[in-house]
Amino acid sequence: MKPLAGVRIADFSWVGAGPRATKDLADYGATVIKVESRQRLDLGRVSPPFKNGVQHPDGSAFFAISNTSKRSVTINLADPRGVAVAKRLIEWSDVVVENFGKGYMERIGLSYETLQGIRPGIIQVSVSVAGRTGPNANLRGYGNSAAALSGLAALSGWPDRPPHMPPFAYGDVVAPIFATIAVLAAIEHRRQTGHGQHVDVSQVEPLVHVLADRFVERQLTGEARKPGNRASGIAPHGIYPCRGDDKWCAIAVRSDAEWSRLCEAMNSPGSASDPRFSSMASRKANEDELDRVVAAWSLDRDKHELAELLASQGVPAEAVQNGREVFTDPELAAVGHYIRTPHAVLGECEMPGPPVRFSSSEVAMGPSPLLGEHNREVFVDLLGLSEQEVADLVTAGALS
Amino acid sequence: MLSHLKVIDLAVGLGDYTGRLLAELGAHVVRVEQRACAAEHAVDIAWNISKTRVTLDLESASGREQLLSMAADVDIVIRNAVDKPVDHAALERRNPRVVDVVVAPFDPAGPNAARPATDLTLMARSGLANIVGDPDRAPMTLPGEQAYALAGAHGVVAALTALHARAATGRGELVTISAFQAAVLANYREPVMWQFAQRIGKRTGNLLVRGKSGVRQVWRCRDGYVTWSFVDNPAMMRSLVKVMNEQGVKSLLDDIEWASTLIADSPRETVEAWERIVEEFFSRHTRNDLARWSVERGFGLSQIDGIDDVLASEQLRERSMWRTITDPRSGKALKIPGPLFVTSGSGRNAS
Repeated sequence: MKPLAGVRIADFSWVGAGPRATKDLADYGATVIKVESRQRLDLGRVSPPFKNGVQHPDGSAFFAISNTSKRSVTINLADPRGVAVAKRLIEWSDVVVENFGKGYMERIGLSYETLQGIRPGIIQVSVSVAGRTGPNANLRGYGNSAAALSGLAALSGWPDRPPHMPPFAYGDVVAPIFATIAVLAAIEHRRQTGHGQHVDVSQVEPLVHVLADRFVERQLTGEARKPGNRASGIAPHGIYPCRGDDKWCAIAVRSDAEWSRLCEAMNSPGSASDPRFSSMASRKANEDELDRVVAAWSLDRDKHELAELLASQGVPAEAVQNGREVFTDPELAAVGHYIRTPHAVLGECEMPGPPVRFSSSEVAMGPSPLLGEHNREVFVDLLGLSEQEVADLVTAGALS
Repeated sequence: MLSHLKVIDLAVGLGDYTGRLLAELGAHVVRVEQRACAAEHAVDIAWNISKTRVTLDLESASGREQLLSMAADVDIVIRNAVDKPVDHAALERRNPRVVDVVVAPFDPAGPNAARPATDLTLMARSGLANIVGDPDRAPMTLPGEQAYALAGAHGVVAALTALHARAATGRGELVTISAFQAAVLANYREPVMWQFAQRIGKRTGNLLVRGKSGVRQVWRCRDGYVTWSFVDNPAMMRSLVKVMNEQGVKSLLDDIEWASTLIADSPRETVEAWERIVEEFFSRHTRNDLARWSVERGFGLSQIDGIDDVLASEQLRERSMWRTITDPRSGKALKIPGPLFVTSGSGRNAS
């Protein structure tokens, strides 16, 4: 049995922060109906890569990995007749998820108070960059705004260089997990009390949360510098050059015993008793020199062989992998991380599944939906509109 | 929200965050420690605040029996291994309704179950480190312990999902979370780019490469840094151009029809020419002015806040994001991230 079987979600979210939250819920068995419009395509559908490099609303692999196991209907929320159909969908739902700008749901007649009137006990989860209250409530932006306002960008990158924004929006990763938690916690709460609620998830705050140790350290020690690749209480702790162009291996030594084993692997037992390196405190005090010693040794070695050698000695070490190496990682193949999923446009593809294994519950991932693929199933079979009503509303542009 | 839940937290390092988040949601979390926590003090405060601490000798039979007695009426147990300090079957016998959450570096049923790991090594193997940093230097990890944090948060999702299933079946279950897989999932671009486009991403500094082009993400302004990018959102593009016009900047950006312009398909040289115009504009204005205009007019710019700016943020203060605690060692008042979100009940995480 799928663990969230029976949970009904009307998903008005788009781009990254909302869809990833409802993806997990759909993969765990909730029925997630994604409300989209041909009038204003989900930006995820126009994000590369595309099948054969050709842009097509159903051909984005980025969209596909963010929307597995969902159903799609097209409703034009700018049309009151479309909103009327949306209300019927809400009447069916346990949960509404959306990440529109502040005030949009209210403007189209779908305030939380209205939702409660339609379906008492309903849960609404709203995701936005900075939350729906406070001076930044109207801030529009993407995951990079959350990185900027949470301190993530300022703390990222090299200590001697400007703030850093890596080419992926970490705010679009963490906030969806918090939104998923919000949905599940609100369902659990409703099971106990019978009460629904409107949960306001900011993209900034989850990033502050996952940086909590940095904020505490700043207040305890005054340390405000960017950490780079270093960590308190661990040395060596870095990413070291290996043989070949842009080949690297991460090594972390948590104790003097691990340092001794690393020294044996380096065939340099003397380094273990070298007073500059013999204790964690001395290694931290001489970390620049320590990194030079390790890097000089790693430079001529294959990154994967080096990682295997050290891991076999009990020293944490891993090659820095690129996208191809991650996709073909033997661990991921062995545990079934990528799930072969047929898709009408993309063909057979390997979709990443949740990082969770249940001993009893079943996780069965389905493909992402084509745009409006489930219009008939939802509008006619689920909501009870007649075929003629649907045809008329499609012609009028209300269901498009 | 979850004040009816009882949790035992046996995790050490990895998995601490699962209990921390559940405690913040209102669950009663008892942290059972073999001995006094050896973690760095800042890390211990960050991940273990709001838990009740108990010390047990889990290497002794009596200590393990005490643990099993405690587990008899809890909803969730969090730990790092399926068989330590007691095996799952023993827990299940004592409490068939328990949700047993194991947060581990690698899948405990997989080939690397015993492989040593830290947050840094998991970030390296996940491919995230390969794209963080600058092209002329080594790959980088993200600040903090992000593979651990992701795994911890997925641990909460897994626990609450299993609780939902329990409501239907009456039985708990074992759920395992792989921190490595959590980090790979966060790397949402690179493996998919290889699968569908056979492209391998590299570190690009502050340039965001999309399609045939790329856009700059970090800009110096008069008194610091801001983030903004050319994006395929015509309303945002028009909004910035209008603000620039109002500030006296007339440029070739005025004549671009943004609705029919796909940034990802625009040559990098073209985007660079546009960016030089924006760079000049940003350099003449302050963080606050640019951010205020963006909030008012919606063009997606944000000031880049340092750690002290975030601690002093009016936005976070108004949303009651921070909680103040007293550090038991130094007596200092410390702000720590508090409730996870705002609810329509009576504020943050309320009912």
